[in-house]
Amino acid sequence: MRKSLLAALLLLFGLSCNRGRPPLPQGAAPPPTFFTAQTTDTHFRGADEFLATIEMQLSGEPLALAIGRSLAGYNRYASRPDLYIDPNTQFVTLDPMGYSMAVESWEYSRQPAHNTSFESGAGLALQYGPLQNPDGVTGDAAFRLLRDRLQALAVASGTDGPEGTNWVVSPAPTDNPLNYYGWPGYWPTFAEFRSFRPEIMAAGGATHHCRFVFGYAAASANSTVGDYECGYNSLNLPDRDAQVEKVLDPAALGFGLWKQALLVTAYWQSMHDNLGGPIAHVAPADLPMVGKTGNQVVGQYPDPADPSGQHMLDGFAGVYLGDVPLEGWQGLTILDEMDNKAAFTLRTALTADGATAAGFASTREAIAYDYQSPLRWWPAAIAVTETGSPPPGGTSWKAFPKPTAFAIDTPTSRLRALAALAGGNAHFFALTDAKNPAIGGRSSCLATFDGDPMAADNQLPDGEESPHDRALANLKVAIVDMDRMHFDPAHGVLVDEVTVQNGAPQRGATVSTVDAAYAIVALRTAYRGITSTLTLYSNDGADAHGLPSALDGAPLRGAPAPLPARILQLIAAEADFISAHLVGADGAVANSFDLAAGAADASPTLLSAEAGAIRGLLEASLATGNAKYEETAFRVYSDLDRRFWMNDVRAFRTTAGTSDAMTWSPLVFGAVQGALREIWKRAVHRAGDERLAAEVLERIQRTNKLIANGWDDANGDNAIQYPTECTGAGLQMAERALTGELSHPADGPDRDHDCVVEISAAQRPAALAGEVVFKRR
Amino acid sequence: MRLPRGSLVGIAAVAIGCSRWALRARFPDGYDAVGFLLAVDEFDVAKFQPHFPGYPVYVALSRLAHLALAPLESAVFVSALASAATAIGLFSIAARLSSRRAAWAAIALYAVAPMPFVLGGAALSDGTAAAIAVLAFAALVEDSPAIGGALMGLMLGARASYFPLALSWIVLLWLFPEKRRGIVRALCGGAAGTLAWAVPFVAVVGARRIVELGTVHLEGHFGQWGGSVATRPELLPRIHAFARDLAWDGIAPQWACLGALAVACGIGFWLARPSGKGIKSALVVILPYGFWALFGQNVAEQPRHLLPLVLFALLGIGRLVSVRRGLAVVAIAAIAVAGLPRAIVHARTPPVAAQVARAVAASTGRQPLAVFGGKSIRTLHFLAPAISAFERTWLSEVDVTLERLDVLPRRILVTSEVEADRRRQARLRTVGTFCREPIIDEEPPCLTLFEYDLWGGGRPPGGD
Repeated sequence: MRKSLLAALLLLFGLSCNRGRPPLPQGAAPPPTFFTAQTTDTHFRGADEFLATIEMQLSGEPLALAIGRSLAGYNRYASRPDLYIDPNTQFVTLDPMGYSMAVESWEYSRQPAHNTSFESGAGLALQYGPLQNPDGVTGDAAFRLLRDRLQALAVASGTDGPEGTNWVVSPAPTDNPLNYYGWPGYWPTFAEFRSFRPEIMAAGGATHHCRFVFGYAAASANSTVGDYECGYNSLNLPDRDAQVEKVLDPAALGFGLWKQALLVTAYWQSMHDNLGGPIAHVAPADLPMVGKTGNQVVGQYPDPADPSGQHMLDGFAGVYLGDVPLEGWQGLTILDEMDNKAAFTLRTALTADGATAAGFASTREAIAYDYQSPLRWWPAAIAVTETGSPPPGGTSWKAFPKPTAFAIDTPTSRLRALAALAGGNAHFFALTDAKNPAIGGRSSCLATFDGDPMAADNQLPDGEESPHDRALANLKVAIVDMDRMHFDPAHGVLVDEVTVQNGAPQRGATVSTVDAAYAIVALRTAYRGITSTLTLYSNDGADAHGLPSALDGAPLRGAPAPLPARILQLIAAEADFISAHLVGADGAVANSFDLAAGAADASPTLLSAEAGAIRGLLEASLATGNAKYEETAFRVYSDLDRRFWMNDVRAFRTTAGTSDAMTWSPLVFGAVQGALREIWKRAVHRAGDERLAAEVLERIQRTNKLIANGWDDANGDNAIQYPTECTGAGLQMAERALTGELSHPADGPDRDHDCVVEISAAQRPAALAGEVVFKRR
Repeated sequence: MRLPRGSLVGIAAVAIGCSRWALRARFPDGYDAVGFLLAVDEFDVAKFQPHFPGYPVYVALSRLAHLALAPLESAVFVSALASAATAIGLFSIAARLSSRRAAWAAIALYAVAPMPFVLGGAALSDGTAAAIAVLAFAALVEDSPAIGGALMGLMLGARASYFPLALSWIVLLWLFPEKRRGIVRALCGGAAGTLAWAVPFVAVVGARRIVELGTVHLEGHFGQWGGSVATRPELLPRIHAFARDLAWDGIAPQWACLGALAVACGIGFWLARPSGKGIKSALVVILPYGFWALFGQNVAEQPRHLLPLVLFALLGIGRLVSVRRGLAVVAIAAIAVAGLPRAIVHARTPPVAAQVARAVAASTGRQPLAVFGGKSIRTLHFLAPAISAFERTWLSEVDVTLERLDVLPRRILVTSEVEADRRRQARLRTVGTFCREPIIDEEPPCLTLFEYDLWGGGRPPGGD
């Protein structure tokens, strides 16, 4: 017994000795967060905000699908975010990567557009749009015009009905100061202001949806949304005149149009039938009846049981516009706004002398604009004077402010504005282009642009007063002005700014990387638009050359080449300049280049420049087929990884060499989203770059969650430890139902504990802040 | 089945029915009652007229009475008639299984017990279904299995949730060899009784629709609002509610009276020494339904689900206290003292929802008016159909509705059933508070009516 005990003790002693074994590594536990964050500017700056939302939409659902997720696997109303139910196994996992794309990036991208389109009032009122109100009538006449138009759009989208039966009260209420037009608080605009302070006094409080159905139909209606989802009175800017900057910037108008077009294209992926089911196809003979009250059109949708998608099933009788009723109503309103904006940018927002705002007399005149026409361009800033006053407190707008004067504030022509207008109008055009099988040629668009509710067109560039020709005209003017005014033939590049003296362009000497890059993006979008090859999310293949274009029949005197070819030349020129002068041998990018000094800007590189360069070069490689641009982009990515990525905190510097603070804005965020997405799309198909591709996805996730949401997953466990892992701010100022906030008082300010509070708690809309600074602890 | 000897029982039963009628409800007792009243004119289960499973037997009887009476009176008349029938059934059972003295004690207790009293004067199906169930057990005791089976089939059409009683009935039939030979007749009777209401029910509603409505209802009952163990799993509160429903709401809602009753029963138990066979039979009846009620029904808010157990408890109490006349007198007096005031309140004081409806109806002027509330709105709709009334949960929903009306009402009233968030709370001004103690279902004893001032001045700034 004693011997056994001794032996056991000796054995234990022996086991406890760690002679010959190295000690396990001891590391410090990560802090709760690496960063604290503060919103230093809440301003909604249209150009940057919409550029970001464009990239966020492209990095949303389509990217989630590309990485193999099923969109149906996410429940955006769950009490905790990031849950994913695999449709094959039914296993539930935490998937912040996919969730940040499929749900957050997409929803965060569309809410700013909704905000300016019909919620806040931060723009020129549609009531005085050039098409909506061509005679400029005021008072009751203006009210009736707008009311009747909005009611017609409600009918076309199947959202009309007497009180309590549908989304839009139809006929509009006869005596209700909370709702004059059918949707409470609707504030449709056609031209967004350059910037505004977005603070609101959202009422908050839950509602069981916007229609009240009783009996057993409502028995299972357990979910809620914020009451502001049903009426926008509390989403209107509470002190509009004090909050908005009454200046129009064509860059904001253009990127706004671009975003609106992407949104509508998404909403127009199908129509819907009387029971809300999707309808992909309608027989051509039935198209004119789509959207008519009581129509009995029977459309078809792909059989879910058929993987090929060829077999079609009949839907229910009655087909209306929009993939779902609410988005049909919103989409039609936006389309009207886009068309009015297109008319405005052609007829009013141009100048011929830099002193007076004066556009073309007609779309025909605009579409005839070419290299030999008297110069006309969009000035960088137009100040607006309005008349009218807000309604009594607590009631809804009925008579909107009327713009009475436009004064040119900054006569300079800016490349960014032209790029925005070119890209925006290209996407708008695609919606009207019946020859585009992916967009305008679909039943949904054909049924929309057939005369009712949107004007039809003969599909020729002959200057009809139609959305088709207006978009084409704007696009042409933008491209021609880019070439005529901004292209420096001596250096073979588009300059940022141009002034006009005595009718002649005076080109500036600065070429900034971001503007150059997004000029490429816009030019390629324009190229694909006019060649009827533009798609919503599948513009990832090399562009075909030599295709006919929608502008082939339009005058183009003095052009160095036919427009499609010239666009490709400009793209190549830009990409060559970026490669040669803005990107070093080590991939380091300069923020800009001074043509006069012949030198690149020596200041520390900004993240937006690096990301922009990647974005532009990859786009150029697809447009031209020149692989060297792609290689240069990957060289830049290596530099991005080397000089900007901070491995210890898993975040990007926003300025090279500065590690203790990061200053993020929508422009930076959008550029980074675009660059990472496009790099991933290439890397995932390149042999040997599998690890790079995986790393890029991790960085997309990290950037989405840290910068947009303000969630710093310092311990890297992919689960939110709430609230300790919240940094205090993110670019996304607040959120709503579609990303998990149901506005029930019992839920608190952040129901789903994702570090983004609900809008009535934040008293800010669901939009990106102007600037957020992240500081290392 | 032999009727009890003597017309005295019949007279007692009629007297009981008349007492229910005399102290009947003058207003619908709540949401479910309104549903039955609406069904008297228009039977539509999809509109909760009444709610699923439709209670076709009770509705059919009420519609029959409606040939001569208004909807409320016709539904209550059926309940009162059922009370009389219950008395006969209880007497028959007690007389057969115990003694005539026990039987008289049982119906005397039944005559004054609060839950049967109130439900006998209410527009609800509980009393009718319980009556049919008691008569079915009486038929079993009296060796009339075919009639008993038919009555059980009808019971399912009066209240499907009494199905455990049907199972108990069959088990009893099987347990006793002398009864077992009647099982075929019982099943035939059951089939006949069921088909008597099921065929027309399916014809009116439609088989597919019944399945659809039933699915939604069961999902709701067990998933959301039914109050079963699925949504309220805490066992101790359920047991407490069960005991309260049975003893307090069912028999004697007063501590002193309940105590006196308990003492009387205790003494009676000691003196009577009930047989094991009797207890076993009682358990066969009580336990299945008891378990079902405890776990599957909303015992927390709807004590009336325990009515069958209350009736059998009264039978048992009658058996115990009948051993001594003094004990019976004490027991009857205790229950009467505790229970009768409740029946009087039921008759004399309108339910709070009805009080609110009367107050609103009296306050309408020329200005457009709208009322928002919870379940009380259904009563308001029924009593004052001309008033715009909406059932809403939160004040934010009220705002959503107001924004979507064709004409914004100049006067907006809101009941305290609508939750107000802090921001909107300041817009509410109290108009009045209306109270009545819960008589049938557990509910807040008071409702407050508020005026909702959207703009802090009664009308829109600058408006008309």
